[in-house]
Amino acid sequence: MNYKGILCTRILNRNCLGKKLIRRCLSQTSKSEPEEKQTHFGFQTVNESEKEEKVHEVFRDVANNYDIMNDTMSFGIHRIWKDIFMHRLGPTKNTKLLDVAGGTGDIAFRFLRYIQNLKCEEGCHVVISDINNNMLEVGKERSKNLKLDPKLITWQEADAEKLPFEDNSFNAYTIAFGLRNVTHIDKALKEAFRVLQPGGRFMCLEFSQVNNSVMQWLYDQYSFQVIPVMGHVIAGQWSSYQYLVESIRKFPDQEKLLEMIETAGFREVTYENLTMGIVAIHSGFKL
Amino acid sequence: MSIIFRFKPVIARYTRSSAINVYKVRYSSTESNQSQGENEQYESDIKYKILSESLKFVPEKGWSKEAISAGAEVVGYPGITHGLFPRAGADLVNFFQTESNKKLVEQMKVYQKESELVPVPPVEFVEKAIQQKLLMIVPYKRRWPQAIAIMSLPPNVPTALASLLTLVDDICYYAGDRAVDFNWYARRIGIAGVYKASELYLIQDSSPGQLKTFEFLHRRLLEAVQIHDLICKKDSSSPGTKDSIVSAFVTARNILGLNWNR
Repeated sequence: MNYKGILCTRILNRNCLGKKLIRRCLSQTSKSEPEEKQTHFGFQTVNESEKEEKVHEVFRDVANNYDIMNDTMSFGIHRIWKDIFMHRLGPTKNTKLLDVAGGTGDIAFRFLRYIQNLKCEEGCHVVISDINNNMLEVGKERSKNLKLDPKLITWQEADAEKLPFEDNSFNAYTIAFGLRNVTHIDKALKEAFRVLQPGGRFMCLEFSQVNNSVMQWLYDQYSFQVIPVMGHVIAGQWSSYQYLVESIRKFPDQEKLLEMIETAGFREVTYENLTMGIVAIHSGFKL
Repeated sequence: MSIIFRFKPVIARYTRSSAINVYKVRYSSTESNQSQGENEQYESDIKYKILSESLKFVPEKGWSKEAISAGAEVVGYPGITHGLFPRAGADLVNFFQTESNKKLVEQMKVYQKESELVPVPPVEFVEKAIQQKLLMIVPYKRRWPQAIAIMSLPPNVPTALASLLTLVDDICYYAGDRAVDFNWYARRIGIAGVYKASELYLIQDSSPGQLKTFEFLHRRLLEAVQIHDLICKKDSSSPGTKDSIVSAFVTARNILGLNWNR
């Protein structure tokens, strides 16, 4: 149904039919006002109220195969990206980390391993938050298998735009491959700024824009021709992975995101490209 | 697939506004250009505070991000703030060098005033200056080999050289060197060599009050003066040396087929 719905929307979009029809076709609740703001969901234009729900559907569907798909799609390189990401953060003792959109725990578990290796667990804690309960369940299962200390982890279902935490309650905020799926990036950044204490660090790992034209061509071919097929074969999900590659193209590039982070109030904002800009690490401080 | 690590510091994008008034209340300015300058000042003030506190932890934790974390905690920031200094140890060493260079300049200004009353030969002035600089390292003596190692890593070599050149340039200037010829280079290279050699001597010197290092420094400076005199005398007494060097150079150029000078 989901897949059909999306296809249907695209055809209707192309035929320039009214918004009302699209909405009916998607069988969404049509309580939204006609002048409601629009946003993108992959290459489609949808009402802002719909995006959250659609993203939710995508991740509900992919949660179980999330890790397998990440490994196959990136040839395992996503692990290296995440390792570098954690290394750049360089946790020390008394690190209170909030890992947003970290459902399956990839970042949080790296964090725990990092502090264990350095023997600086003293005063450390991680809150893993995700808007999607399915992803959190996968993460909880994994943490049990890895025999991680449950005292160091808190699981919290939360929306990155409305974090249920007090001001100044964390000193590190990470969001890996999550910011892209948030409807209002600026709101999520403001929330990040709010929950961080002065001196706290914001770090974002996200797909970005490739800076080399040959690489860009290869990357586009791979993204549009191979990834959706892979998604269909391995996870039985074509549309979810179609969304994935489209949403990457729609996400602001390195410089634009840097400006957005600065606008939210962060200082010393920098970014670092990995693998020619396929992903970028953005970092900022609340000073 | 190769992973390319590229770090692009973006702080430098802002054009620095010319006059930054430190005493002005921050955030009150509505002028964007000025507030940008103030922002930068605010950020560098914080960095300065953190690094100067971190230096106190160096004897214990070394030139490392642990020392910076500890320093940040003293200032009231969480340890994770060490990320402000992505080059960790190198940033800390560089900060120390810059600060001690500044301190040394202040001291040399005092010496200069003293030497106006009682003239001091330049060599003694240089010796005194280098001694002062070495004394600044003494509190970190045990950790200094680590600092040398960090600054010898290829990415840090440019900053290390820059701070060394600033040091010898300051020393030469305040010692009264106003040469505009070849001597300008010769003196700076000579003093840099003597300073670095003494620094290396210092890290294994266990004599009270670093006496042996200072003796070593004295001997090296005497040698440097001798060599300098020798070159100068040769130069004036026998112009043949100069000529033979020039002709050797021309011959080599001709052999290599670069004889375009006709």
